[in-house]
Amino acid sequence: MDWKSSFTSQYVDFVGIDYDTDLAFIRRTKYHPPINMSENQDSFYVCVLIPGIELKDIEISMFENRLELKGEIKNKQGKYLVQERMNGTFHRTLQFSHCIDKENIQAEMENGVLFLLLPKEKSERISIVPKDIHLDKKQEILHEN
Amino acid sequence: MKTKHFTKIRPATDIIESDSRVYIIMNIPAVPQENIHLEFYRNILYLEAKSESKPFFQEHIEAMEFVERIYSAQFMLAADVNKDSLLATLHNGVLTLELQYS
Repeated sequence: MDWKSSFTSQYVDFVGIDYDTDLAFIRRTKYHPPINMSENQDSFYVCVLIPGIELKDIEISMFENRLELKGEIKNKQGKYLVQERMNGTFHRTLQFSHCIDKENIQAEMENGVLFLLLPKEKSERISIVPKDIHLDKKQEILHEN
Repeated sequence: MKTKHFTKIRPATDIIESDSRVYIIMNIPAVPQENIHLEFYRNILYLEAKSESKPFFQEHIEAMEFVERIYSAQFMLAADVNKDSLLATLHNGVLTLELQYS
């Protein structure tokens, strides 16, 4: 490992790898898979572009409301005339605004796209029905003031 | 009628050579097999592949970092490459084209 790559890997570890920057030298060392994310009342739906990897080789973990995706893309061995495809490790972290029902997360891989369906925790939603104050009580409050 | 506009991009490509074969490997995620079009014109190999994204919840889009696109590439092959030997495989969004030297 030369000086430059050693420096870069240390810097990435220090930052925590959850980078959304235009730092080109970091992007050259780690793949930052692009995502599309949408939400409805019950779930979050996340699509991640990760070509060249099997679903079983992607480490999907949840800690509190944070989803972490980790893995390594391994390229074919041989004599390279051109090498443009990314390889090596990738890491992406997503923070959600609701608690996720961790037991019922669904993952599917199709044509290099990872689809994740993350249901929201049901206990999170508490509906509050405002009640009218009884007329007598209202008058009491007014008299007190 | 609404017309969809696609971004046309050249896919990230690796070219690997062995004694008897050459492999052209391209990242074309979100492209189903039926959307891949390969064509030879003289000694040029043309590729065009259209990606498709699954519909998702339209209520609230939180992030949109990629869109549907057309992958387009051209490769000028050496004279000793046997065009009839072309073998194309698509796996996990990676298209591998295998060609033999004659």
